[in-house]
Amino acid sequence: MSTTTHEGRPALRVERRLSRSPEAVWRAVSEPARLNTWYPMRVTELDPRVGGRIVFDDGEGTVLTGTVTAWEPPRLLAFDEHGGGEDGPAADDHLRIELHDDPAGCLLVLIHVPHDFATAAGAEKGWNGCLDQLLGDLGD
Amino acid sequence: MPPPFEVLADPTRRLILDLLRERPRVVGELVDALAISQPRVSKHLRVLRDSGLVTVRARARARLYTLRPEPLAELDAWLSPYRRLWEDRLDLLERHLETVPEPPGTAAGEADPPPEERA
Repeated sequence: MSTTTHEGRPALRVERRLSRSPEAVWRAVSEPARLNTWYPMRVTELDPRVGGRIVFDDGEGTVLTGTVTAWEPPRLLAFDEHGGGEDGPAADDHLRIELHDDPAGCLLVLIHVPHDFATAAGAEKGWNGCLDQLLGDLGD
Repeated sequence: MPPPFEVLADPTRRLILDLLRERPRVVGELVDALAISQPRVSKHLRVLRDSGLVTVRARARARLYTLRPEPLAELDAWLSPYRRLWEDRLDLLERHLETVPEPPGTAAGEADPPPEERA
């Protein structure tokens, strides 16, 4: 079971061994043009420093902002994705991508701390829509 | 019975579960660790007991609280769409990495050269 907690909140942990060095993977997780080949939401702005702004735009009217909370090339990228509204940090998703040395090249550890559970049903719908979109785009 | 995710929305209750994950404890230990009043700790423990996340048994003159992880399976089920999403997305990342050359001078690059040779 890869459900875990991160700073006391329920979190998901996904690991993946990659046959590339942490340096190569870092570029794919930190440069918007490359991030956009795999990340669930299009990144239109990424200020590469702690406290820097990230902007996500799904191209269909949904724009979210985030804040970089850790920037340690080529090891660690973390950011908060702001849900907005009056819920404050409870509405934030937190993403953390760690790159560890591995004999195969690199071990990527992704930790996703979803925003509060009350809005989870809506989020799930959003992700599924996102996946449908992806499958449509791939066309195969 | 409140669903586990509502119970877990409270940060103090999450801290209590973290402490009980290490080992069963009596209420006095939780009061010391959390630095909040005993009535408040007891109130949280009652919510956790009602939701089935902790059990309590008498030990000598104290009541010992123990974590009961079964309701967390519901939490795991809630996270499963996210897990599928990220597994799919990491597949895409892997495919992307196959298309870009390894930066020169890295061990992984030597072990696994990029498909296209530069002329």
